[in-house]
Amino acid sequence: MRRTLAIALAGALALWADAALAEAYRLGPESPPSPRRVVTLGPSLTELVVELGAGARLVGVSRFDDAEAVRAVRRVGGLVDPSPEAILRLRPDLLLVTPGVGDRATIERLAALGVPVLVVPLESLQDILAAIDHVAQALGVVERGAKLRAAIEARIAAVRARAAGRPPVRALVVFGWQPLVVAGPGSYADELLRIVGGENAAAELRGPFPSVPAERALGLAAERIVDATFGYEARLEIPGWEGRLVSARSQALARPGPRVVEALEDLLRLLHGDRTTSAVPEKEESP
Amino acid sequence: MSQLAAPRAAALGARRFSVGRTAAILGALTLLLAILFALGALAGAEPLDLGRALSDPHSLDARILFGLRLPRLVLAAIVGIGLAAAGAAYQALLRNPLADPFLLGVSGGAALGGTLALALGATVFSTALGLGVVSLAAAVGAALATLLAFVAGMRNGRLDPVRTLLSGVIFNSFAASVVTLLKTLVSPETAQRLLFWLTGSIGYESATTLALAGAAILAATALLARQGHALNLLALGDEGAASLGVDLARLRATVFFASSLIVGIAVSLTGLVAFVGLLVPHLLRLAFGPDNRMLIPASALGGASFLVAADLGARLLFPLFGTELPAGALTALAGGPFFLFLFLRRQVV
Repeated sequence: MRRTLAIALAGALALWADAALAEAYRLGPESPPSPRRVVTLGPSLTELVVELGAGARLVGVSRFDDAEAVRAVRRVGGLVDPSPEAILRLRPDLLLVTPGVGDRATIERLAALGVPVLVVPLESLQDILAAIDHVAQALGVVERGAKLRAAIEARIAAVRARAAGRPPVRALVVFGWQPLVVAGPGSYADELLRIVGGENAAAELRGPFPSVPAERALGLAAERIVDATFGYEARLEIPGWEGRLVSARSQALARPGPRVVEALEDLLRLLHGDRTTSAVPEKEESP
Repeated sequence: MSQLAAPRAAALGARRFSVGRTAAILGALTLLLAILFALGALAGAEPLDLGRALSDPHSLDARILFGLRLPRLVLAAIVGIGLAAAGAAYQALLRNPLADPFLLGVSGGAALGGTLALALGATVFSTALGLGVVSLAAAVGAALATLLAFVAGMRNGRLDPVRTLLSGVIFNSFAASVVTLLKTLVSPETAQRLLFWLTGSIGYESATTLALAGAAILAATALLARQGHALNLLALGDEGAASLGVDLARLRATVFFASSLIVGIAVSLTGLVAFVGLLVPHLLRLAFGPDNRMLIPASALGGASFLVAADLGARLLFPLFGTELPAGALTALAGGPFFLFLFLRRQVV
């Protein structure tokens, strides 16, 4: 009996591990060694291309792209609802996307019509580092990719070192106020919290984005509540949270991508009220 | 004929069934569909050079026309044919102008099936889960929900239209609550994708899928059209129709199974494209009269035109919204006010 259970557990774990380590994959024809016309569906992918020094090769981006570097680049629609005609017309020699359910048929059809596609998972820190390698290789800038990856890893290590030795801060990251949605276990923000010496107050909740009743949230006894709604939502007044609320500045906190260090430094400042950067629990900050 | 009945008969006279008139109506609707289909092939989010598309199969224009536009148009036409024919048949079977496949619990059932698959799949299989399983689960959910509405609607061996519709509406609300519950299990991103899928959108299917779905929906629609005469007699009530030789049990079973097949396929391919089954038969009934022998095939053609036009609209509106609106949003946009209009009319009549 115990043996059966162990085998079943191992099987389940293998399945889980398989799902957790989603690999990047290609669809459609091979892209040229150094693609000149790149389309991205996702701001993080755009940022990655720009960071790799290939921003000038971008010919199309999603409508959610807000980076200054791609302000004049053509929009080809949303992430789940891109316009395949607009993409095809741009004659891309590389299309970068994240895996998804909604747009799967569209992306597969574009690949079948001759668009080289690279599908890159971007949900965790590990994904980001792997994505740098994959995208750099696809763009033919492997060396630059290695440098970028090393730089990001070094800066993450530096943040880790700055956080080490400080008493852990019990924190809650809020992504929505009505309903109250927080960063649960397994989310990207949860991963970042741990790096900066935080302890996720929502660690016992279920799922990456649990929705919590306000009184339960109060019971989580967070020392810092990080408002990561970036001013899109009116704040819910929760008694007892006064003085513990801080506002995240970096949207990278909600967007796994190459700006991970920016998100980490923001969190570090917010959690520890760092002396090197002058951050304090506040009221007045705007996104 | 009494004096009172005479004007009414005269009014009906213009709408009396004749093969010639039906052929003319169906011919005109076919022409409309052909025109919209051609427009749909020529216009879209991007300009298209038809000459180059036809002469050079490797050109960008050929890929846009044959790889992107035509498959979508065919899918829109197939789904439109089926949903509108099923709507017309349900309205006749239930003797209720508000009957629509989606009101009979289909939208709730499909949403519930799809969400269940997505919620379970998202936690167990991550994103490796394709849309296929979700679609299949939605189709099964849709079929089960319709079955539930019909079983709940049966009383003493008779199908009570109001009970049937009410069961469908209640089930839809119930399913919507469960879907809300299930949404807490998936990430906001998955929830957003689910929402998009549920809104109903015309996407891309392989030629084989299109051929199989098209054959099945056309066959089921032909079967529904063959019931036109019996459905006409049903307007006299169950006893009246039975006394004129209509096999009620068989008629119900035929309409139910043919429509369920259609709706299951449609939902699995395009999600919930709302109001086609309601809007199109009513428009055509207002224009050409209620004879089901004409109305069911006419609705099929009209439904195809309606969805082809909605898909064209979705692509043409791309520059305006910066995104492709799901076709289901456009049909609901047209259908919502019309639904209200029907309600108001019913109060007056």
